[in-house]
Amino acid sequence: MVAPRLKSRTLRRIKVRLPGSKTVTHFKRRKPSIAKCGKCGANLKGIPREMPAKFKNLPKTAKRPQRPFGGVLCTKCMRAHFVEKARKSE
Amino acid sequence: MVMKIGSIVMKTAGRDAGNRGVIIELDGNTALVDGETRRRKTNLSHLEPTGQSTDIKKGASHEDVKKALDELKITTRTTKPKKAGERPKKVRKVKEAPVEKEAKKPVKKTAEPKAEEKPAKAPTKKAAPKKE
Repeated sequence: MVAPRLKSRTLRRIKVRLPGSKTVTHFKRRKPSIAKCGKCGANLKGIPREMPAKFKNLPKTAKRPQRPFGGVLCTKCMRAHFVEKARKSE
Repeated sequence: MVMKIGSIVMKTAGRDAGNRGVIIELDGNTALVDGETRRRKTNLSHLEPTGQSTDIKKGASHEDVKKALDELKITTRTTKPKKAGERPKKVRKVKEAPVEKEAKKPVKKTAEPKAEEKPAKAPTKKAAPKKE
């Protein structure tokens, strides 16, 4: 009988095969959602989808792209921002 | 809006996005840009003209670019060329060995007087030489 707290779907289930050829379900926390663009909502690339405890210990350069608005805006929105800025300065 | 040599452009992609620079050379689909950006060959699709322009000749040096952009109050980025550091020399193991032997000798000298003192104090003579 599974413990009642594990019967809800808040935890994800992972099937693990043990050395004795026995499969067991392990219960693990779900990963955080994928980072989104602040303007258009598109999925951001270059940002690892890790648990907060692991993400915290990553180097700063591994957490977001090395460009202005990296980790905040997608490339399309970032470029549109700077194109608009360049045209306004005329 | 036309990209010429001497026209000031803004980079819209990559690490230098949002930085302005001058076109120094044009070659097909690429341009050599210098200024707030690093002096770098860039794709024309990554540049957006700002409408301003300067009197700069083809293949101008970084110092010329700096003079021209100072008039427009655009700061230039100067990068220092990296100097290669000296490589650590390999030290032979044979040389290290005699240094250790020399260090041991004075220890023995200091130990000898202790051995002489101890027998005078107490009968535990055997314990002292073992520690050495």
